[in-house]
Amino acid sequence: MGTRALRTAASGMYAQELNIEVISNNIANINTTGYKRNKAEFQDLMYQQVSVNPVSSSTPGINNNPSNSIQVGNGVVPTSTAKIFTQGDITPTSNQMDFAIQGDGFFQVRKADGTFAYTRDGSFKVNADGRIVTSSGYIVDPELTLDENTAGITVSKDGTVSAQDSGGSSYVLGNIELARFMNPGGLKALGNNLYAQTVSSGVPIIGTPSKDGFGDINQGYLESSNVDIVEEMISMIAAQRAYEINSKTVQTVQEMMRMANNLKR
Amino acid sequence: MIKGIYTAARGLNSRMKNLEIVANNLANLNTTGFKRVVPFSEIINRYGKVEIKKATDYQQGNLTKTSNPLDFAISGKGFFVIQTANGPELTRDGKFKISVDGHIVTKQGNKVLGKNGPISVNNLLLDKNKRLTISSNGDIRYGDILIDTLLIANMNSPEQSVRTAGVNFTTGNDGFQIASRGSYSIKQGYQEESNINPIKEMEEMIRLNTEYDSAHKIINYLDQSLGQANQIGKV
Repeated sequence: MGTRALRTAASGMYAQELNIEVISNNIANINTTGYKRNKAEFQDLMYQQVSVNPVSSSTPGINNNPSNSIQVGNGVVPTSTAKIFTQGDITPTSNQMDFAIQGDGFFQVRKADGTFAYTRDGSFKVNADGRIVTSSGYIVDPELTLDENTAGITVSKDGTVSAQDSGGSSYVLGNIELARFMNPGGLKALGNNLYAQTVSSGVPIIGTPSKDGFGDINQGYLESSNVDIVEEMISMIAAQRAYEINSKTVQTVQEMMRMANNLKR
Repeated sequence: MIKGIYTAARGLNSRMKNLEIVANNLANLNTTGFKRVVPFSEIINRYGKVEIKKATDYQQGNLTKTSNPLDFAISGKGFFVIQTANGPELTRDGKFKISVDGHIVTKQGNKVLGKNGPISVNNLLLDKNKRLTISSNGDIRYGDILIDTLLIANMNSPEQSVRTAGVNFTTGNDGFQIASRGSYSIKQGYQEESNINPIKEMEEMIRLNTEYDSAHKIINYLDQSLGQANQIGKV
């Protein structure tokens, strides 16, 4: 008896614990450039057919009646964490190597193993070879290389990168391209503000900023995280209360089991 | 008097079963598309037999914004129809994704059905000029091209539905019928929260605990009386 209710309540407590972990990670990343908040996803466990009249009785017709069975669930299981890709606030930095995407799309970067990753964090730098890289050193794709004569770069909203040399003349260096996904919520977070494509995100669609529904590139700006502290606090309160109410189930089951133990004097 | 003990014991049993149901409701407080299981009640029908009254509360849950283009929520009545290994099932959980072979599938990988069967978006995926939109009637468009219309169904006998894991329902013998256009509205970028109200469940839990206590006391009294009856014969 009752142990199913105990296990169900335990599964609920475990789910809320995971919920709190996700929320605390969001809060910890409130100042991370380009961070997108996570949300824990849950699903109910399988159901079991249970007969309601297991106590034998002298009344005929009570037992062996198939309609006298009910479905009892076994609790909850965490399935995934989904990224919420709403726009973060754009903040000015006045740094010519900072870029923010206003709208849809990701910067495409190449990792050391040659595979691609995607990021919304546009705080770029120039590495020793003159290439434009992310703050963690990944090369931005398509590659943009500055030479020793480059005095500065200007990036327009559609991603055209023009370089000014020390003489004051300017020429086009290349383009920043953006990648978009059918289901950005399905991207896998790799850490370092990077995402990788998965089966559920779909393949990347590469395009030019400001066109075909892609976002604009804003030079001299960075995108803040989209974590809203009030919302996270409210989620945290709700998760804590949900944890508490599941623990109340445990308490109630325990009380009922104690009464059952006291049936025989 | 012995029969009284059985009756009270049955009371203990059904309260414990109901507590399991309440525990499951509470555990699924944050499960997308979860519908409350109403604790069952036992009644004696006109033939003098015990009958179980069981139900699901299909009330609409809150819709919350996720901004994910593949999250759909139904506002109003109706269910998404999905194809599983055990035949079609119904669900209110519209958090979908794209499978490897380019179909719109649920979290568990079951294909979501449109009016023309499984919905394939494979050959349209790489076109950067187009995006997937869905009208409130469930018409799925890629740019201007109409791919399919989401199949939204209503159960013919909601009381006969059987739950399977993953907030899905099978419909029993009576099956389901396609909902008429306009009787529902699909919201893209939203998800439906569970319709559990923790206060209601807490109230139910207190009630079950109290009733369990009463049944337990009744058994104790009956036991005492039987004990006294056994004393009568003694000289």
